[in-house]
Amino acid sequence: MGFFLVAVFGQCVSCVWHSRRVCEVDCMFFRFAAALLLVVAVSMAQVGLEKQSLRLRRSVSRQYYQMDELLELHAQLRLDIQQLSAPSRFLTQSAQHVRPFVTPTHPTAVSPKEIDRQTPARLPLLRWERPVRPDGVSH
Amino acid sequence: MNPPPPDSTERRPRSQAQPSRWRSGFISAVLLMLWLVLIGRLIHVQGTQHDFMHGKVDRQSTFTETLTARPGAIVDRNGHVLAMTVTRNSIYAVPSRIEDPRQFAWQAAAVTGRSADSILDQLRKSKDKHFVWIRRRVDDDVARAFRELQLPNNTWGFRREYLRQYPQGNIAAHVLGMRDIDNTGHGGLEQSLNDSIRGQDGRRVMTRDARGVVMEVEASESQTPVHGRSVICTIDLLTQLTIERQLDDLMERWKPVGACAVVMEPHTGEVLAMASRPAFDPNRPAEAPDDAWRNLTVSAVFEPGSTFKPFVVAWAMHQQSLNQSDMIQCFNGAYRMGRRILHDHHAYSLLSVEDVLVKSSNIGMARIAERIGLQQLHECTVAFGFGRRTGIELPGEVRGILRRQADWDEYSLGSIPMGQELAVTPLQLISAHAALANGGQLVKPRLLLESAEQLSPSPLTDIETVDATAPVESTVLDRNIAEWIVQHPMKQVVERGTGQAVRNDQMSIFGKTGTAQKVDEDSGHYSDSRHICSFVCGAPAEHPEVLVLVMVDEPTAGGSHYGGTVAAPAAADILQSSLRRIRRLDQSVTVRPEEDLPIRLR
Repeated sequence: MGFFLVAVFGQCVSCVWHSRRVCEVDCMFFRFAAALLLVVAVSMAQVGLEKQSLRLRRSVSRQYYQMDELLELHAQLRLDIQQLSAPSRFLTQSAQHVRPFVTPTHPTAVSPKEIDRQTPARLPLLRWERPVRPDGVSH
Repeated sequence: MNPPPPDSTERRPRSQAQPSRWRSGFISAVLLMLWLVLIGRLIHVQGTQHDFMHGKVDRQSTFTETLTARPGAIVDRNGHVLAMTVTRNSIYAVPSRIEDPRQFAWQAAAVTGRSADSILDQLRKSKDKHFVWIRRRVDDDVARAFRELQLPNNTWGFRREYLRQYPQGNIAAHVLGMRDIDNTGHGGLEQSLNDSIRGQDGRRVMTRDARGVVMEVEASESQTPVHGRSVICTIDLLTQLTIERQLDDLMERWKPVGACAVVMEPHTGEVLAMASRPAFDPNRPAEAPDDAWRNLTVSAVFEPGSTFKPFVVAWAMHQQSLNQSDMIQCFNGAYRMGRRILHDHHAYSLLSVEDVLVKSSNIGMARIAERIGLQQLHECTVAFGFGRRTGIELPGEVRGILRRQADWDEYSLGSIPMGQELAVTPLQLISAHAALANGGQLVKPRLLLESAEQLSPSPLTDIETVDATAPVESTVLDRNIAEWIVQHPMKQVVERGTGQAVRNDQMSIFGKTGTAQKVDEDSGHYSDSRHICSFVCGAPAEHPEVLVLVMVDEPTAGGSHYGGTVAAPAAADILQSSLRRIRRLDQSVTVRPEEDLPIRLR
């Protein structure tokens, strides 16, 4: 792009040294082409920035989604701990009559790909639910 | 000279040139009219119908989804979780896209536990709809099995919903209450602190194209949900477990209509444990009997009987109408007050003030009441908090029954001192006894810890503080009088009086038994067969650390109905367990819910 602009500028400068009639036609053509290419270049740059912004937003959304999943996993594990370590459960066990109040589930560590596979298909931007003020993120 | 040839146009007949101008004029007019119509329509649509069209576009292209806030947890004073929320999958179907409802229903029924007929009936009734619930909040195993059914795509799906769980089962069920499927608290702390625990739902506004595919989330119009705050309550799980088991044993042995127990720290008013029978499991609310929802500790009213007597004695001493060394004539078990003759269980002639309480003499109490009169008697009941709510953080608390002084008559002077003609809640009674145990301060019972972190943050929410409520409501008695009542008469009740069942050589226990007759609704008189017995006790008498009240409503088995026999043994066991437990408890909270979180999320 820079090379092209330099060439256009050089061509315009060369026009000054040529006949006035030829210079007017050439300069008009190059001015038009240069303006057109400038607009195209700016548009392409904007498209690039937009795509980058979209990619970042998707990345942030995915991170929030993963954080939600981790929090949920944490809550589930905490619930299981509380159920399995409930004092009443130990007393009941000691009486040889085990009956948990709620059947605990056993979530295992799930990879993000596995989560994506298990989760119904959704657009990436749908999972943007932002918890309030996590560290390092301001909004 | 030939004349010039005439111009061909001039020679054209007039009738041939005229239609051409009309035609072009007509076409121009039509075009102009079309343009005018278009311009008019444009102005109409863009101007006058702007709001209507804009709304229509909005309805077609944007939709709002509610983001449910996660309710906060309820933990005991040591961080044991009493209630918390997890997410579960809810299964839905899209009836309009199901080609073979019978096959769908048959397959879904095999996994979800519902009958195939009900699912099929539901699908057929809603065959034009795009959404029906198949089963909500299913376990992960059920969700996995449903996914493996390989049902046709776009005919079903999952939605994540919150599910309230109570990992301790029915422990402290009446303190906690329950939270329904719509995230609304019912009963207990779930109801009274609903605004804090529930949080605030958010919303997500999305733009979609003509095919309904979401294009973008409108972040500026969306709102993040504010998750509910967690609550640290004063309950100690092990103490709570003790009284639950004691009440179960008591219900098994004495077969009463109901029973309740409260354990309180008398100086701060912190309720360490509170239970009521019959009870329910908040994880299985559908299985609860109808009478199980009532928390007797705050909603039951009963005549306190002899447990009320120490207040009258203390108030008479406070008014300097009675001295510790006074002797009371009890007239050998029969005493006439106007038209009424009072009786004692045993005939006493001359009793000391201490013995009036130890022997629980009705005549002695009536004689003391005569010294202070009806006005002071009424002031006594009001001063100890009867007739008004204690203000504990529980819904459904009642005031009890305390008539105006103007409605009292000469009978009242004999009835009130023996705990009749007024009705109190168990919580009112133990709060009043706490005033005796703590040196004369009437404290407000409470279930939330008094600290800056009363309402602790749930994961990823801000730390918020609330104003700590002053525990002391008023000063009722001089410290010396309160201490004398506890360390002498009430201690002697256990040593040699009606509460000997709880006597323990290793600690100095004080207490007071109470047995009140219930009113027979048919005759309107006191029943001889239906009683409410209670026992309130605490230890150590020199510096009370814990106070226990057990109330048993109408024991029907076991052959006894006295507070010293029915309620006292359970109260003694609870007291010993609580005393061992409370000495290990730090006054401050030892575990914070947020400490379980990974460091980067704190």
